[in-house]
This record gives sequence, C-alpha cells and structure tokens, in this order.
Amino acid sequence: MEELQLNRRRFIKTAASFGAFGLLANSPLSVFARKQSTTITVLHTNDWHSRIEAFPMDGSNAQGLGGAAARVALIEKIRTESEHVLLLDAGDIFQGTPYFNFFGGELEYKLMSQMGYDAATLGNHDFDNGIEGIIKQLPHASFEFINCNYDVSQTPLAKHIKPYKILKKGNIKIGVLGIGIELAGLVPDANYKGIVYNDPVANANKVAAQLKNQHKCDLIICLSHLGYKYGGDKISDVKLAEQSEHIDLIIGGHTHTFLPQPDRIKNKIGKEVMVNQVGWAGIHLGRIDYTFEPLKNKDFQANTTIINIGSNKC
Amino acid sequence: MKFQHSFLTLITWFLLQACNTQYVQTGKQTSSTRIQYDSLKLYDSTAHYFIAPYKKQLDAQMNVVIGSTQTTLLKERPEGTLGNLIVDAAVWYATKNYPKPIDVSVMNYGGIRIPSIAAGNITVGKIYELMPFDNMLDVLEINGTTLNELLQLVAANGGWPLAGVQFTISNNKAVDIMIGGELLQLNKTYTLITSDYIANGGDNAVMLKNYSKRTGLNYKLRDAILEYVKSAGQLNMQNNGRITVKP
Repeated sequence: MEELQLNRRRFIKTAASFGAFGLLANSPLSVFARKQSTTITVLHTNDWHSRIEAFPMDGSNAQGLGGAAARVALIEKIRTESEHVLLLDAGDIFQGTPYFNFFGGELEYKLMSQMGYDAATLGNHDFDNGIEGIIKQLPHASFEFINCNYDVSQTPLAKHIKPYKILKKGNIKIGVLGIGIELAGLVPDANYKGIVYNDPVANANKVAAQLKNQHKCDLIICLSHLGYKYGGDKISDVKLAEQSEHIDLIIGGHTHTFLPQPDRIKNKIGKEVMVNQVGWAGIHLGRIDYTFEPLKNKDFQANTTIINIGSNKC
Repeated sequence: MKFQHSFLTLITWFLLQACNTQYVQTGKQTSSTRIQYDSLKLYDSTAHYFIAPYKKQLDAQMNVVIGSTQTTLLKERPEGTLGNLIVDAAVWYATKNYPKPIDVSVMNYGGIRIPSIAAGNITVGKIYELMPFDNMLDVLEINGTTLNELLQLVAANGGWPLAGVQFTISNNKAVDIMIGGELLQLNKTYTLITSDYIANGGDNAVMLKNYSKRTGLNYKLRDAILEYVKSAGQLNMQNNGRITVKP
C-alpha cells in the first residue's frame, strides 16, 4: 500500500512536469480536489502522575480539577465533534498517588487505553518500578510507547519501544517521535540498567528527517520529556525547537509547565515550531487544531488564533 | 463500451489525483486550546464504575485521618513548611533509631510531590501524595568538607528542605553556614539523615555517592512522616529562617 501510494505520487509529479497537471488543475473537476481541507485535532497530556481521581475539595488550588472520568467524557465529546483526533502523552504517567503504590500503574494504562491514546513517550518516573515495572503493565496498554534517543536494545524493552509512529488521518500523514530526558541522576541506576542515553537533538532531527523525506509526513510531532526550559546549557524543548529542522510541534513534559499558549520558536532554518505543555496531573487537556489545504503555492502566511479555555490559576 | 471504460479510468484518475494532492498546513486556522476539565461538568460513569473497585480498596486505607495541621503547609523555596515537615520527621525518626545524635537532615526539593497540604485533617493518602516514592532513610557520617559541598548544591538549587542547618544564599552560594548553632568546621564529622535517593547521588548530590560511612535504617521516609504526624497530633509548622536569601 505504501509503495503504491508513492508510485501514484511519482506519477502525478511526472504528469505535472509534462504540463498535464496544469491543464487538469484548471478543469472543473479540480474544484473537487481543492475543497478538501482536513482538520487534525491534536489532544495532549503530560505528567499525569497517577492522578486517577480529580483533586479533592480541600481548599487547595487544584480542588475539583482533573480526574480520569472527566477526561474520558471530554475526549469522547471532542471525538464526536472532530473527525480526525490524535491523543498523545509526553510521559510520567506513573507515580504520585497511592494508585501507583498499590496497583503499579495498571489502572493508568487501562484508562488511557479506554480514552484511545495513540502514543506516549516515557518519562523518568515511568521507571520508578524499574524496567520490569513497565514490562509488567504493558499488557494493559493498547497504545504504543515511542522514544528515539534511548537505546533499549540490550533491555527487555527492546521489543516494546519504537522510535516513531506514523498515523494516517484522512489524507494527512502524521509522524510522531519520542524523546526522553537523561535518566542518570534522576532515576536510580538499577531501574534503567542497560538503557543508553543518546543525544536528543541529533536523534530527533534524524528521525524527523526520515519521517519527512522518506515517509512524506505532512505533520511531525515530537513527544518530549526533556522539560520546557532551563537556565544554562541543559537541553530543553525550547533548545530542541531552535536546533530542529522538520518538527512542527513539540509536546513537552517533565517541568510541569502550564503554558497559557504554545510558544512559537524559529527553528534552525527559520521555520516556526510550536512548543506546548499543559502542566501536570491531568488538570488540563491541550488541544491544537491544524487545518490542511491542498497545496496551491508554497509561500503561505501563517496566522494563528489562540483560544484559551479555563483559568490559569494552576 | 470501450469509451465507457476509458471514461471511468479518467474519472478514477481525477479522484486519485484528489486523494494524492500534496497538502500544506496553511496555518490560517491553526488554533490551540487548553481545556481545564472541571467546570465542564463532564463525567463518564463507565470510567467511574471501572475505577470504583480500585478506589474502594485504597480508600479503606488512605482515608484514615492521622493528624491535622493548623496552617496550610506549602512547598516553597528557599524554605517551606512542607519541606520542613519532611526533614523534621526524618530527624525525629533517626534520633530514636541511630546510636549517635543526628546533626543535619537534607532532602531534595523535587522530592516534595505536592504543592500544599490544606489546613485541617491529614490522611494517610495525603502523605502518600507528598512522598509517593519508596525511598529509604540512610544515615551518613560525613566530614565538613563534603557537607559544605552538599549545602553548596542546595544553595545553587535555590534551597532544599533542611534541618539542623542555617545559612544564607548569596550569589547562589551558601555562606555563614551554622550547624547546630555553630559555624561549619570542614574537618569535623557530622551525621546526616537523608534518603537513599540522595545518598545514591540523586539530584546531582554526587559528593555523597559511594560514601562508605553509610547506614541504612531500613525504614521508609514516608513511614517516618506518617509516624511523625501521628505522634504530633496537630502540626504547627513554621518557616524559621533555616535558609535566607541575601538580595
């Protein structure tokens, strides 16, 4: 199927080079093609930290917020309104409430499967029960885990972690890659034994180029657990964005940053990359809608509308 | 017939063209929303019932009230009442269970896992949220030089929970370090109670890694906090100038 599509595209390109495309593009039937814009709704979470229930009504800032039962309903509602929905998580699903201490993450993975997550990346706290702790819960997850800068080939995770995932929604091909933070110093050595940490920027760029050039993805999303921004040289989502080339959106985690709206950062070829992160504990669900229209000319102006729902009090 | 066939082929070709048009993200309608799902009043009852049996098991143990706090406890830097609770609990437990007096306690700020505990009752579950990790308590006998390095790390991080120590942060450095009311002496030996996470060099506390004079108390930090709150009954935690920042 993949090959067939590539052949078709090549055929069209060839036709265009002979001028046939231009002729046909002006024919009445081409209107049919032009009309087909597609909206991709990207929903995302990060640092859920086993927050199965909403925060209790105890007078704290987050009281009544979050909770899996509310998120299930919200996602279902969005799915009835939007045809093409992607649901992604940027890591640290585990640890933070007794649900993890007692059930090891089983309920977290089961609920995320019910919500229909497409992919998640691994955060440092996902290793809190070691590599075996992840392996044990994987049968409860119907979604995939992606990371391209941890070499897991010498660990039991080898069969389970993929560098990227490609999703097709309507006519749009979306490539999703995963990036993880350096585990040394954050996670006890024994808990990630055998995993080799590789440079996030080099690996993200390599995989993104593959997704763009080889797989012809229209949208490239990076799930990152690096953290939003730090003082000094430490690699972060902002730094990754600046040094990236093909990534359109970085969905971040780790620093529990509530961004009121996504950052827009120029990458190394001057193209805009969005960086977003929605705090922690499942208090917010991030939503970014991309509208794709058939290519008319290559120079386009990007105008953006930002809509904020919910207060910024957290 | 033949004409019809080629006409169909042509139509198919047009349709294929439509399907294979290269797409471009116009950006014109890119929108971003951050949805806070409280006021939406959405609730999925299937998920609720799915969670219920797990919740029931937990609630029986977690909703037990073990004490209370007069004030809302806060995770703050350079010093906060939630951090003070953790280190004070560690010192309290270690004092009873280690043969020598405890001089100092240091825990990492990142180890405080909730921003606050509201004034009022404290449940077992709340302490699990505060300290979800199964970190164990370790006592280290370290010299003043190593302790100074550790406290410089604390200062560089803007302040971590501390007991038995007072210092000032000036230009990201710890100065005027007092241990038990006396100036830190580099050649003196101090007893430090911390978590195995920090003793293993976690959060860049590399100066403690592989330290030989280390005794595991074989007791979880969380259990020490639980017992401390039970023993205190009602907490009245204060910020008492353990760390001050020189402007």
